[in-house]
Amino acid sequence: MFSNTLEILSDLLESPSQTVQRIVVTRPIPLGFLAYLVGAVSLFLSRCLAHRGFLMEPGLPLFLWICFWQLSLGFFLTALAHLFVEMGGGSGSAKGLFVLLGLSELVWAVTLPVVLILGLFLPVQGWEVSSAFLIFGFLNLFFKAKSIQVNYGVPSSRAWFILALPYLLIFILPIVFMGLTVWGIIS
Amino acid sequence: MDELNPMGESHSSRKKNLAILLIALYGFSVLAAVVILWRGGLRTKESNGGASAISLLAKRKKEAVGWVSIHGPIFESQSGRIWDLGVQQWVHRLNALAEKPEIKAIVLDINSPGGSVGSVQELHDQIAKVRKQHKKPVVALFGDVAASGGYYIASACDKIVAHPGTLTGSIGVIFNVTNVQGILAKLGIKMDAIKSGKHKDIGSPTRPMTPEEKQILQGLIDDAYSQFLAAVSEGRRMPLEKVKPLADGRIYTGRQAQSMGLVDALGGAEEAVQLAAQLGGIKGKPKIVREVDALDQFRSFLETEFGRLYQVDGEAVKVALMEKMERWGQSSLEYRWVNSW
Repeated sequence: MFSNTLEILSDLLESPSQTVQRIVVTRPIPLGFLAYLVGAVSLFLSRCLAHRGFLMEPGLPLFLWICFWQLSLGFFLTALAHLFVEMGGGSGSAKGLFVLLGLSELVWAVTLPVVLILGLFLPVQGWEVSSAFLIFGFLNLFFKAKSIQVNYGVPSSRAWFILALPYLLIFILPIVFMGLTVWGIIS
Repeated sequence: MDELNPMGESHSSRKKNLAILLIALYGFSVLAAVVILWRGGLRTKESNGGASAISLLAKRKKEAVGWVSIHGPIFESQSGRIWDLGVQQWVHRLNALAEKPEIKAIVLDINSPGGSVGSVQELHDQIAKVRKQHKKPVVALFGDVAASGGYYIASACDKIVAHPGTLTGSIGVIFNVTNVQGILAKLGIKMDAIKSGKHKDIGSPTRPMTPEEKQILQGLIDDAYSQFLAAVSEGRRMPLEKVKPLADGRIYTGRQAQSMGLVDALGGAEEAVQLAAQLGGIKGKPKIVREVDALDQFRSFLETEFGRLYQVDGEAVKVALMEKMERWGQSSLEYRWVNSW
């Protein structure tokens, strides 16, 4: 399995398009899980190094929470994206999408050495490190949209729209809930 | 068949070597991150002032003064859970700060009319522990009011700083008993107690107190009062004979209290922090670290924002008043200045 993983990773560097097509067909789920885990570790360490805010004090519980969150978000995005595509008449593999979305999290693995290098010479709370997070965050979203596009064969604009929908749900639902709560208290 | 390079490696083995190299570099990054975080500690944004990693690795952790706010009446929390508010949470905050090696001294920001005897004594003992076990000086800073129990806990501190107009003193004990016999009679309600001993319902709100009961309760008050005097005498290093005349329950301004030796210095937050830094051996302008967790900030936000909604709702005001009356109706031994809620 390690040899297969190495082969996929090395092919990903050399010929990304062909490797992605291969992943859609072979659907190496363990690689997907591994990629989510690597993404979670990298995100946790890079944000701790950069002293970016968390809701909890940094430590093992927070790390476990981030791992759980990344994986849950992966499942959630995969499920919703697959549902929206199928509702729109498209077809593709949910497993393949799950692996591809996991591989998009590997962007955070690059963030870690970048934050380390920037942090050696600059204050970690400066705009440079913030910009790095923004850029890699955007790359993460870009690769996610690309995953949807490749997996379902939909146009790029539709892939971005499908990607935006679950995030909108994640942010809008709590706002609606809070609004209803406040309205309930006031009335 | 793969082409071989001059070193005899095939194309596929070159690809694998490249992947292994990248994985090794990533592993090295993770190791470096863990070492840096381990050495520097997983610190909050406030605690390292935005310095670069090189300067962080080269320097020691910046020394700081801890800050704990004790605002409002001092009582046990309703449930003891971390999301509740009460003496357990203040004790937790005090301990959390005292255990941090970079905290060299603590400022206790007190704005309290006091509270129940047990809770006040718990906080007092915790402050004494911090001073004794962690060897960290604690400076009390008085706000608008630091009376009765508020003064009790301050007496455990190394120094007390008050504003000239702070209201303090009220050294004494009170036991409130509410007699609702009249109103119950008007409602046609009669209460009967069947008890194992004649004093089992001592302090009952449904009947007047007997002289014997008053004597018993006075004994309780006197004992709690002597504990208060002893705490002030020990904490302020004043003989008991000097404390007693000051401890008839009257309140003082901060300036008056200073002239009597109950307060060490007049000033505000800055003076208290400077004094704490000086006692803790911190050079230069000290950093302040408040032990406030995210849950506490969120709760405080809810109380501040949504609490205002209740001020315009008559029904909710009635509910709040009834809750206060329920507290007044409960008999308990308190180090509290009763002019405040």
